[in-house]
Amino acid sequence: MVVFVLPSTLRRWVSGRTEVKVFAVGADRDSPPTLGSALESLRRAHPLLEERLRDEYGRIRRHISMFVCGENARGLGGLDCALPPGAEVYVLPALT
Amino acid sequence: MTDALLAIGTRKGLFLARSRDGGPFEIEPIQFSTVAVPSVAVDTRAPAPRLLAGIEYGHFGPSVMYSDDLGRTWSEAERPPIAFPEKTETTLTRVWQLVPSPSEPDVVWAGVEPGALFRSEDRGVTYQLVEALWEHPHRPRWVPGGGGLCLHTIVCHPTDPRTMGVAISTGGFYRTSDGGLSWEAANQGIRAPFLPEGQQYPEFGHCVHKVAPDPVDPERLYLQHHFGVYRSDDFGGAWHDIGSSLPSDFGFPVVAHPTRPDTLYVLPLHADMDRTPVGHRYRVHRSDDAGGTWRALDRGLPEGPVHAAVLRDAMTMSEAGLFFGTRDGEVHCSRDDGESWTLVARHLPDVLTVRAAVL
Repeated sequence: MVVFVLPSTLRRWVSGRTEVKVFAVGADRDSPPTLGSALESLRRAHPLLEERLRDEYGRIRRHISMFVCGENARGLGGLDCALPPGAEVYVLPALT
Repeated sequence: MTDALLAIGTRKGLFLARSRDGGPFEIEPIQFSTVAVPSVAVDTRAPAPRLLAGIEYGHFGPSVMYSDDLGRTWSEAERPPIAFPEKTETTLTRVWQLVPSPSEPDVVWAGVEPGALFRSEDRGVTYQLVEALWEHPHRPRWVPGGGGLCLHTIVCHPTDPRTMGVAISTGGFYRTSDGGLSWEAANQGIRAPFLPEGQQYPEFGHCVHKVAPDPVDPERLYLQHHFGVYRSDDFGGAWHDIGSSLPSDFGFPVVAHPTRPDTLYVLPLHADMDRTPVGHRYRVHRSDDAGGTWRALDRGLPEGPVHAAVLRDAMTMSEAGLFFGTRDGEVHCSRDDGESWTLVARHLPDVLTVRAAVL
């Protein structure tokens, strides 16, 4: 299970919820889930929210950052970033 | 009772205004606050009008919203309503134009950035790329204008769904006569004065700002170009200069009267390097003879000096009236074909688009 923690600007697409939980699995039994696989699960469960985070080719939008265990996922392999069990993914739009 | 609806898309939100029985337009509270709304449409083809809004969330990308209750609530397709096929390796940047087809009841066309045309067959909820235009051999040589590489204008033939035209900055005017299966550049007669002598009439590469169809003659089109104002009497087969007697032939919008033939409007700016209204006054110029002569109309418009431009989609005319919105957030209305004007709104964010309809 992966938890996406959402800022207020993104909650409109999930009925005001502050976080959403999705199942995510690795590519095989021995692999941990990745941020990419968690986002694929998010797309199935909450497509309108996921569309706001990634463009139509699955690239994380330029002004969106996702933090895993306190680190920006961009520095942890991006979509290939491995997620530990129960990981929380903090979604942060850039400030303007 | 006659209701009219005015939709004003701005850089930071959508404003709807209603008028009853010819009374003043009353602006409703802002919607999509802080979200850019570069395109709107009021689709009155069905008994229940549908509003469409092309929006940009900034960080969260563009989308298309629709409302079947005149803007009280809005919905969005459950998958991205406009998305380029993966093979194009292209990401949607902006929805510039939403146009309900006058000849196909459920069809809505969308013009987008980067320059492409999309077709909806469910009244504007979801769209598919028009592949033939995307695959046009000219397309790799189109270059962005100042506003981006955008398909900003869609001209539908009123009765023949096979015939339509689009304008791209900077590509020019393209037309189809087979429902979009093939497209040809249609810019003959349009001059590009920035090119060397002998090369000033290129087949394509023009910075067309806007095209408007005549309401009576479906073959007649009016075109505001980066350099000049033109008319075509054969749906873009050839273009003829009609701007030489204007105080400036630079501007962005051109609109045609919805019922009177040969009647069109432009709003001249000084020049491409000085995008302010001529004389620093808003003066709408009307021609009643298809561009042969022009008359300046400014009664009721600000004394000036004013300094804000009017963008290509920020002027419109329908049975509800003639409207234009400015980049400093004013919206003006005329209900007597431009003879006199009243202020509808001010202090809005900069106006990107206005559309109006009688409901």
